[in-house]
Amino acid sequence: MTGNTTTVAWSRGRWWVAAALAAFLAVQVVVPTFGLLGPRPARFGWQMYSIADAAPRAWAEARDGSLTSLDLTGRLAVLRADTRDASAIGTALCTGSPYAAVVIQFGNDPPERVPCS
Amino acid sequence: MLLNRLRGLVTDRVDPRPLGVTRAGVGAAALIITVELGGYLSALAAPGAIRLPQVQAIAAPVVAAWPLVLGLWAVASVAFAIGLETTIAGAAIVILAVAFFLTDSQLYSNHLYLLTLVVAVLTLAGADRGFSLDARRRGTQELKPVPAWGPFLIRFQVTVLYAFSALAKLNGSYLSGSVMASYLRSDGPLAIPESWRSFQVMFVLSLIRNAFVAGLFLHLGILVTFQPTLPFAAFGLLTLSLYVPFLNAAPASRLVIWDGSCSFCGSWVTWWRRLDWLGALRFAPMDQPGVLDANGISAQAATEALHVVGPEDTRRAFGAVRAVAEVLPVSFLWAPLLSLPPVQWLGERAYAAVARRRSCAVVPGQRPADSKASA
Repeated sequence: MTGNTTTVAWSRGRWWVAAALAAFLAVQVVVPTFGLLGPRPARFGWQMYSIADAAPRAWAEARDGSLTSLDLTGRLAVLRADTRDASAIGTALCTGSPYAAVVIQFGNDPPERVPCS
Repeated sequence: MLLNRLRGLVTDRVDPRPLGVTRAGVGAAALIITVELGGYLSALAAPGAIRLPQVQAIAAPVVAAWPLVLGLWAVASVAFAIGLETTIAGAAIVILAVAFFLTDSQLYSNHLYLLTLVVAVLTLAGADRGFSLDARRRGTQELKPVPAWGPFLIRFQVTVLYAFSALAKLNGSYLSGSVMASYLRSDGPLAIPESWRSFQVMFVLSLIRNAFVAGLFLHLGILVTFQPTLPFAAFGLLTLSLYVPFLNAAPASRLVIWDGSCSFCGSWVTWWRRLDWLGALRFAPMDQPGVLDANGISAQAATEALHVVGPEDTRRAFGAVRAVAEVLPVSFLWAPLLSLPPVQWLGERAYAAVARRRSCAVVPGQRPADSKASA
């Protein structure tokens, strides 16, 4: 091929390609735009490294209400702020523990308290 | 107008080689990501690990057989990079990536998401048609063009990525420098001293004159100064590979006119041919009938220096070397640096010094094998 651009004829079937293309482009803009409206970093929003201390943190809450920091290294495969599954992480940390609750914070989000029942 | 543009993206067909080169880089990035994924999957499989499955039916087998799944990923990455059964390899990468996302919430990363999107686009857009073993195996002389929406979507993806990445960083914390400081490398020979970690504003956008160079330095700078290394290496290679469709290097759009009697020049031409993966260059020795007249170059000027006739201008000597570097995939990112005053000054003098002595390199009676003009 030595030319720059060639053109094929328009056909009815190409409408589907055009429609899929337009939809893909719209999704590529709309999804990250919504991501800007919520807490950061948001998934699918291209917000990498936009906040400091992105690793999730956890504390064990004793029966008397005192908090002790928990080390999540080795328990979580990756320490990512956008994981945001406090319920599952809290439940796992509660299992077999004497804690009254576990408090988890992702990035700059408000801390979430997961009671250990 | 937008509809016409959209219609053009569907009906226009363009050279497949830029997508092919992009595919090779993306495949290499996928291979780097294998190492990162291996670490995460082995951690998930370890006793006591907290799992955050998205779809249990997928998570259980993937975690149980993670070495096998990762092996498939690595094989698909290599096949995609070299363009061997590209469609199957691309489909395998996309399917496995989606399986990883559904296996565990912790396996999400922005570069894995980016990789999934671009591999899907490249596979659907026919990135196997250029710079691939598939194309070589087909043995067709004429490259089959690809739809224009392929390169467009890659360019659009890069634009969206940088735009939203910048928008997300418009917050007080980031602009204070504290976010970047927290990711700076803290150990090893490239560790950033503690006293350097409290800088404030880092970027002066008005100084960025060339997006390619800025992107190259951005990702190299991140790789050198930030930690962890592996994800940044994968992200940098992945993103820089996506720059190729931005390159203005239409097939055969630049004519390189060189002294065909000079073996030294012949060596350079041989290397440029090898590295011209996009097919942007044509080569003609100056003694090819009519080539100088057709391009308004005197015999004396052609004897003195290399010339590159481009779509916008004709450059000679070191400028011609720069014109070639600007369209080669291995050099286009840093080629604009050759026009910086000190580099250009040095380059012009070095070129002149070599050009004065190059007659010594001529072997009487011998012509470089590839001195014939080619398209």
